Amino acid sequence: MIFSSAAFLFAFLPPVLALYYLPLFRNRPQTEIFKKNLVLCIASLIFYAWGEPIYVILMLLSIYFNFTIVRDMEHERRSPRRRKRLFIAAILFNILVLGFFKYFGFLVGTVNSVFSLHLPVVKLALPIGISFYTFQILSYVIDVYSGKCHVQKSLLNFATYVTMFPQLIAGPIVQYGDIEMQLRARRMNRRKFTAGILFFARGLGKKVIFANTIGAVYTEIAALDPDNLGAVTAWFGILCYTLQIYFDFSGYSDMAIGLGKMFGFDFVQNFNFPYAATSIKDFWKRWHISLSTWFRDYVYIPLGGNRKGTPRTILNILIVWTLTGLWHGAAWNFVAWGAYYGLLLLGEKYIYGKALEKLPVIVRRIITLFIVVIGWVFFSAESFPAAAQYLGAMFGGAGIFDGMTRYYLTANLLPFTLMSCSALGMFRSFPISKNKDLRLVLQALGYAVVFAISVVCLVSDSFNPFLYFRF
Amino acid sequence: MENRRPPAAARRPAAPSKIPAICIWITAGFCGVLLLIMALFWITPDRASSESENRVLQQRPKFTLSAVADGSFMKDFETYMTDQFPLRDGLIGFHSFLSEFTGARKQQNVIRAKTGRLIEAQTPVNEDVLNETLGAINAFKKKNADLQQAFLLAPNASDLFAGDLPYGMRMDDRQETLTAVKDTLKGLTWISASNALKTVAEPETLYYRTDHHWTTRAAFACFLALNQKWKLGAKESTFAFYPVTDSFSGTLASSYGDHKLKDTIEICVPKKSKSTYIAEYASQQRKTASLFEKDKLAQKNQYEVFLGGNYDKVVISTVADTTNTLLLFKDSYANCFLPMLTPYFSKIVVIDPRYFSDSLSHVMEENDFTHVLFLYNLNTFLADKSLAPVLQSAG
Amino acid sequence: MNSYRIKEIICVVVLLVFIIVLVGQNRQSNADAKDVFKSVVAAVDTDGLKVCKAEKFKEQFGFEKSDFEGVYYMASDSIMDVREILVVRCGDNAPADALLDKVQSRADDKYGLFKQYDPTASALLKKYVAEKKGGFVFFAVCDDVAAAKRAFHKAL
Repeated sequence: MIFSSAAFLFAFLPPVLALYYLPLFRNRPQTEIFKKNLVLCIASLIFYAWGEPIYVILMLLSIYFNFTIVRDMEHERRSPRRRKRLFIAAILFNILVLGFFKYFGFLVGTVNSVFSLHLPVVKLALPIGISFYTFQILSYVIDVYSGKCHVQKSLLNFATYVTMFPQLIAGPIVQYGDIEMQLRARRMNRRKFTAGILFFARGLGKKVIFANTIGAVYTEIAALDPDNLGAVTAWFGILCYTLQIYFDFSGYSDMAIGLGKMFGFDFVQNFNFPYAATSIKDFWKRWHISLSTWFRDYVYIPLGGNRKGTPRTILNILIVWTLTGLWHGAAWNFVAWGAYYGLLLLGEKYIYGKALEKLPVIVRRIITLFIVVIGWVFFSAESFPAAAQYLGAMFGGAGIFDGMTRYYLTANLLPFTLMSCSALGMFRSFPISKNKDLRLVLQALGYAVVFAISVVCLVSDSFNPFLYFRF
Repeated sequence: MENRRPPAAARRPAAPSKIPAICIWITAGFCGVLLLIMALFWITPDRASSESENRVLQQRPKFTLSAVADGSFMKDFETYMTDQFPLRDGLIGFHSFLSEFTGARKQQNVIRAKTGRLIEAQTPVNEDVLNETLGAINAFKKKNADLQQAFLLAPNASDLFAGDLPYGMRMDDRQETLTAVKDTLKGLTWISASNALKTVAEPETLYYRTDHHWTTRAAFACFLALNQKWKLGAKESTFAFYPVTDSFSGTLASSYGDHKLKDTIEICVPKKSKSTYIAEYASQQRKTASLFEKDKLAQKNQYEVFLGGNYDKVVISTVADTTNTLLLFKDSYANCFLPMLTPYFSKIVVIDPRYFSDSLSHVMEENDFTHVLFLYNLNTFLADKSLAPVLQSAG
Repeated sequence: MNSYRIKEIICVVVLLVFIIVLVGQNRQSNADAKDVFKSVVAAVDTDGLKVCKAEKFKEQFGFEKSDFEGVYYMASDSIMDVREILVVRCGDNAPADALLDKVQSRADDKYGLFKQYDPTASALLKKYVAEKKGGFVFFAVCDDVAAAKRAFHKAL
């Protein structure tokens, strides 16, 4: 199921919220939280099974296995060797499951083309969200092993952590440490719920009104023949994609955070106006924050981070970024995209970082944005050659203008400008009013309009893609 | 610091924040809206089809284990929720209004011209397919050199109203394409539809504003051109135009999502009753004495009043005092053209190759044709894959 | 061995079984094309449809019957009736992917053609099923596609 659908909003969410908040055990907080987690867990399983009726079994197996093996690990805490073996077994299990269901075809295909073999490729569909929930499970396993968190003795609580539908399919990737306490006791009050509603409405608007609209323009431009594509149109097209993927993904994260709040959970922010970044390092502190944090905490730092000398640091950075690219998809253009950023980060760190800092902020932002947009060409393309063709068009391969340039620019001027300003954070500090009460009322009214328009678009649009769904 | 009196503002007790109360309103509002729409959804009865979208709507899917296991239940349920959403038509209209408000002038492949009319986007030319079709036509002409063969290729609204396209939008000038086709079909009599249409005083009346077809007036102008080339002996004054509806909202309006504009459909009939005929629909096994289906005026797609729609083969026998017989290959543009031909041919066999699966040689053997006419519009013709196989099946 | 180990092993075993079953779904089937075709036809209403000859298969899809191991195609004489059933058993060198692509693009084109004129026919065409499984290519447009699909899977 996806959040931006009529089925989710008007058939799934109301009954789940109603059951969740039904005050059955008002006087027994322990039972109440148990009931809440139970409702949330079952609803989440239904939510997941809605999109993956068969692979829900895989997720359940993964949950049960990891729950058991970590309890086993704790049971053996007096024997560090056995504990370590169990830890490695758990990590291997998760990596092998993820590897098999997501990367097997890619691996076999690559081996086939490199060694000219014809090994059979087992074609299995990718289970939705497997990258997200596997990473969350790994976070739990590693946190308990390292002593950061206590073992979770309740299967229900652990299952709730993994399956929680607000963040199950598209993040943010919640580290176990951030949620451990909240599973047992979380604050649910009307302020939080209201904040949740506003976040959700904002996310819905970003996804349905902004992302879908500008995405339709990109799709049209991308379908044009690259040999007849003028540079201006090509640039406009990829800028539309740049906006689409931002609003798509950050919109979804906003909805996830909003829904989390409605159920009493506080998730960490996942996006922070990434297109206003002043360097690539800064960009990755603002884009898909939960992913880069996960890789930092669970791969980069355990590998030694930057504490083992320059050559090792370079290697660590390249490993982390290749894996980041690979996480996004089982294809070489994603690996290239990840490596692209890895190399740029190394460049910033060791070569031109200092020079970059001396430039005025606006120049740094433009350079960073330029680099990011080029990166998106590789990310969005079907293949390497397609990306190269599109780049060719962008740099004047087929002329500067083409027949449709003026139309695309003028027909989409208003939405494009509006969205660009929004993405750059220009509406952040809108001086609405000093009065907090009035501000809240105006915000609520504004988001009510956004919600209404979103519903209108949802119902009438057959075009409702979600780009980050291949994970 | 000595004790100073705190500023006046701080001495007054702060006004109690109304935020908790506002939060209740927001929460109640949000939950209320969700519940209201959910209730409306279950209360309003399901519709079987949508008139304005001209399609069948999804009904509630059956909950079976196998439908759940392969995901079809879920997919159908989601479609069900959007298709049966309360006030769906109103929401679609509002959405189309919003899109136009923000500057979009193109929905799917329909464009809103500056004059408010809806225009179908041009179909990209498929060179290979086009060459094959032209080759087949030439081969057919060669094999049947004794028949008078004419070719009428009608331009579309996008060709005539190129100047009305939204700012910045440019479409190909297909005059060159027309000339190229004309040059390739050297053996056939070329009826220049573009020239014929240029003679009409009010070009706005040549195409419907909400549909991709040309109007009866445009068909008539081209009929006069055909009449001149084939010397059928028709006179303009012997034909009369009658409006049959003024509430026509065509295919373009459905695609675009806006039904505010309405068109008038006219029929063109010869004034004298020389035009009695019987039309026989082979695949439907029925005969009718009129080329107009009045029932179709009660449905959404009123253009089907002409001939009742598209059929594989229709045989029209008339009481015309002539030995001329006609074989007509067409797309839907010819439907309003047919009645004008009836006084000049004793038999007309109408074939729509997209639906025709029989062998053309049968048709050729059964009938002794004197004339052959190909009547197409550019958008359909440039990508048509069905004419060539049918022509080639004539042996 | 403590209870945890037992549970872990059971999990891994169940997972392996799960994977084997999933992969097994894609294996080559030994079923005869005729039997599969008969089961599908039995499961749906084929009033007015006739089994077609090789020429019609070639005319509609562009492939020779001899390219495959077994071809069974049922359609109506009238082009206004859009219902069709196609069961093809592909051999090792058969152009299965090309056939599947052709089937899908033909169905999409037909949908576009009927969309404006016949809502009922276009609703049927929209729900077509076209898949490649177990070494077969299966295509159906009919009233109860779910039943046809089930019959096809069962027959494999």
